[in-house]
Amino acid sequence: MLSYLTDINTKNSLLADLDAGIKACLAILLTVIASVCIKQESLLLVFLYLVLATVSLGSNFRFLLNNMVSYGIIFLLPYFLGLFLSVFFGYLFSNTQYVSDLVLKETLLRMVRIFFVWYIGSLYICSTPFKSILGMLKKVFSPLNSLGVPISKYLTIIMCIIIQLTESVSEFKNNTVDQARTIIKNKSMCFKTKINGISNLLVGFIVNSLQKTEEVQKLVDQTDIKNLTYSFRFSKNEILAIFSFIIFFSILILLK
Amino acid sequence: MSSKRNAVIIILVCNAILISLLELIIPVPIPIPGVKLGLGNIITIIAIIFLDLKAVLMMVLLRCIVVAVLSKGIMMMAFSLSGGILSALIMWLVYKKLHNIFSIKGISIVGAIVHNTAQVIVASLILGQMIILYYLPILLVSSVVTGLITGSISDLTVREISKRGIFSNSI
Repeated sequence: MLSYLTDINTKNSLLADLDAGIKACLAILLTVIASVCIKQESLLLVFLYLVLATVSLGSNFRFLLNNMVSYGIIFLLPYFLGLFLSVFFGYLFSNTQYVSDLVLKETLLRMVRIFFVWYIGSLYICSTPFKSILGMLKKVFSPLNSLGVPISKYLTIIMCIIIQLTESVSEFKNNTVDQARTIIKNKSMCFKTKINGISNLLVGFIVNSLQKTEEVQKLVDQTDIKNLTYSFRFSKNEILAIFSFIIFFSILILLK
Repeated sequence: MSSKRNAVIIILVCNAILISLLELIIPVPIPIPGVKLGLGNIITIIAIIFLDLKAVLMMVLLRCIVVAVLSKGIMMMAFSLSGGILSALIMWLVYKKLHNIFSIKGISIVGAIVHNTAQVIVASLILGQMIILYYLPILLVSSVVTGLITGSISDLTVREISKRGIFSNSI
């Protein structure tokens, strides 16, 4: 889950080099287009454009596959299990009401659209450094600061969380996760004993981490979000991205 | 909001995210697709017991934002937020108003049930298909088991924190 903190592959690509603001605008526009597309041809075109974006992510098709798997587990699996149970109960009680809202084709098209929206979000998040995202958010929401909404404070806390996570993730993996793995792999223990072992491990971890409050407090005091700066950039890559989007949009309109 | 209070929230959010990593290696007692232990719930329970509602909701909100920014993408935030905020609210209410009836394990089970229900409802709203709700009874049964496991760990942790007096100074 925290591959973002260690995996830098997606951060060194053409897509990652794009200006965060322009990329956000393109992502929002693409999300809107993907949500309103009804025709199968239009959806195919959106898919091709997303493949192009994946290629500019360094041809990281594993990323696309990972997203498909996650989407499948979160959306498709519960849906098809629900569908199976619905049909099963329908036959069991000879009641057509159980399967009355089956509109498979429409649902599948909707699922494709949702996947596109999901994937656009993932592409954006994965190819944009978090400092750029926070810097942009700071700029966008800065008017709220004058209205009394403590945006700067929340951004400081998010920044501290990410610094703290980056510092502690490898230690956690090397100590707690490894110990938990040893407990789980121990074949002489029953499930209840394993859970007790992991409970003790977690209790120790949580209690010890809460004793580091002063250390984190210093980090909060020292963290200054003035370092979060976002400056608009418009180079050859940005022109190329906007141009490709205009071509995509023109073809889409022609199709309609 | 004091910086000590912020520090505690930061530690809790980090813990919730790190503990979730353990879910990849711990086998779920009920091997049903989509069923998770929900170890992050332990941290929400600790926050409910030792912090006020505002801090609890802030912790859940920040956790969802950070997880969305770090890995899962923006769309997952809808799921995490709906399940996280609603279950935290209900658990807080149960702890404050019905603590004579519900133990920490009971509160955890309630939280797991609310969390799963909210996520399935959001999924069915996004898909525009109520058929997904047929899956809910299975998830609810598994919630009782996973809620009991996370509740037991929460119970042990809360006792240890109280024994060591970690939250004895006002935050």
